[in-house]
Amino acid sequence: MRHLGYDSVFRIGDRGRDARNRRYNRTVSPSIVFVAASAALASGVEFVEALTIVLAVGLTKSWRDALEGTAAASIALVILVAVLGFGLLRVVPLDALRLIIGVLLLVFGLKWLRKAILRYAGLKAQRNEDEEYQSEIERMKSGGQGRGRDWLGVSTAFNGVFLEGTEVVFIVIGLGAAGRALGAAAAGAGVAAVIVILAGVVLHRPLNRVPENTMKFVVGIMLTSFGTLWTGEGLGVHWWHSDFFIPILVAGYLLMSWLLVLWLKAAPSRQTA
Amino acid sequence: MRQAAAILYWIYDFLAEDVVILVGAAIAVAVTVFVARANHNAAGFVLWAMVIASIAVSLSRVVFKRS
Repeated sequence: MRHLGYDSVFRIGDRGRDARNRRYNRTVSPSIVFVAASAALASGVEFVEALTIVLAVGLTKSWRDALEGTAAASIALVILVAVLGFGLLRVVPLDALRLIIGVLLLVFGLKWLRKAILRYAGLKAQRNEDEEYQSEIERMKSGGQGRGRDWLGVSTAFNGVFLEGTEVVFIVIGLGAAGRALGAAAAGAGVAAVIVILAGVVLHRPLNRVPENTMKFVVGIMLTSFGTLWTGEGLGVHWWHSDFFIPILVAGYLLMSWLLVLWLKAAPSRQTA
Repeated sequence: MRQAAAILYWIYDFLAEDVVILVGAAIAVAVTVFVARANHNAAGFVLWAMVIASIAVSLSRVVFKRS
């Protein structure tokens, strides 16, 4: 009798949890498209930057050095994903996860948004993949060319792929874990990786026509919006219509950015006048 | 000690690159915690407004540095 009572309570609890999860899954589904798109754009920008470095190593040192450095960095990133991604999802409760990741994404998104706004306002130089590529080529040439494996080439490719990849991992895991859409975020990053790698293989030169600042601006807006939403949820905020508030946050941040760019463009001339 | 400082600086540089953004986000979170106790609906708009204020202050520093 006692066992039956415990069993029935346990089952009711399970059913209740299932029902709550089903409701939760229904409410987050609209944000999955935003998560996948944000992950694809963010990853695309970082992959373009990594490709520039790998191409410079491959064409000045050797493709073996470039690919070894890339492979080693990829393995390190897979370990990072396994530890951070699966560890976070299994160990940390959703509310705490959303607060921690929300704050991190908010700060990280503001960093990207700030840079993009400064570039639009002409207060920061635009990133030029051709210039980055030439400077890497010069650095590789000044390092000399030895026989066998060139550690400068391997380490440069490793550093480039690992550092840019760390940002991809951070964004994909952040968006995926807090939004319970790790598959969508990973798929977005995967599509971006395939496109950039194919473009690199076909063109054999840096992808300088990619509108990096626009992509970084959009990603900055998305990360800041998700960061605001999840930080708020973690702190007990009741957003109007829950996750459907995301488009409103995005629109608000877009308007804010436009106004800030206008103000920054006008500000120096006002002061010098 | 020097390595620990280097790691902390790398994390700061990776995440924010600007101290105003970091401090602004911390203040926004702290204020939202208090407001959320009184009004769950208004707290979201307070958080949003404080985030916007953080980036505006951060960008204004760039302008004032140049002047």
